[in-house]
Amino acid sequence: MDQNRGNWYLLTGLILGLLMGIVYSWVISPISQVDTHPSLLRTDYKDIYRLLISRAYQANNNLPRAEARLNLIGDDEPALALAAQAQRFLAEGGDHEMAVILANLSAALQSHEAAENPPVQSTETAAATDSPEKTEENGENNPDNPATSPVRFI
Amino acid sequence: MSRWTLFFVVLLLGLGLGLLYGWVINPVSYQDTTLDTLRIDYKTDYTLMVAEVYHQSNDLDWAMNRLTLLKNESPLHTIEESLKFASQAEYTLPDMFLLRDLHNALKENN
Repeated sequence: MDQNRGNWYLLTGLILGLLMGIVYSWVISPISQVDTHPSLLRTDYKDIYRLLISRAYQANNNLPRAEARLNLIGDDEPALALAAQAQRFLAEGGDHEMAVILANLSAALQSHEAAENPPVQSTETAAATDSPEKTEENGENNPDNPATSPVRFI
Repeated sequence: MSRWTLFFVVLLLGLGLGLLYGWVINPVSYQDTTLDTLRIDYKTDYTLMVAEVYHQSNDLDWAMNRLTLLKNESPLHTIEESLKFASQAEYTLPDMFLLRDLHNALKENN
């Protein structure tokens, strides 16, 4: 009669063991949280990180560095995220000066983006507005401009 | 080998495979982490940001408060770790200067 039961008990044991192993490794003793990335930070810590980036930008005026740091947080639109945080800060009765610092970096990013990606103009409008003198005056497109120099990634 | 012995052997095999899957192949991915779990290079950059702000504001209480969020033994320990990493990673001289400036201020305060 035992022979008729076949080897199903082996499969049962294997599945049971697998389940126990997965529960232990995922729930009871998951790998410890070390060496994480800023994009995984909790929302309130991301706010602290953004504010610190903005304050550091205020101190060093290094936009490429601030941009590189903001990219670590993983916001789709870093400038909008900063602006939204500034508004949230004010709405919650936070320090006005901090909101201004956040808004300043947001504005700097937006003007930098606008300079790098000018709006598409029709041929006629472009011909009427663009002149060689204007292109030469535009410091943002100048490769020697320190503001557009590459960032040293840490 | 009895059925029970075989059963436990297979159970242990399954357990081993389950642990391998849960710890190595598909470990828990974390969301909502805290600043103290950041990798050392991000922690060092965080410390550098604090040093950049401190260099301008000279507000040591604020700097200590920010460094405390990294939950090391002390802010001084945090900056020492950052200096060590920055030196290994060959940070630029101005960045090293900022970190040392904050380090000295914290040391004097201790």
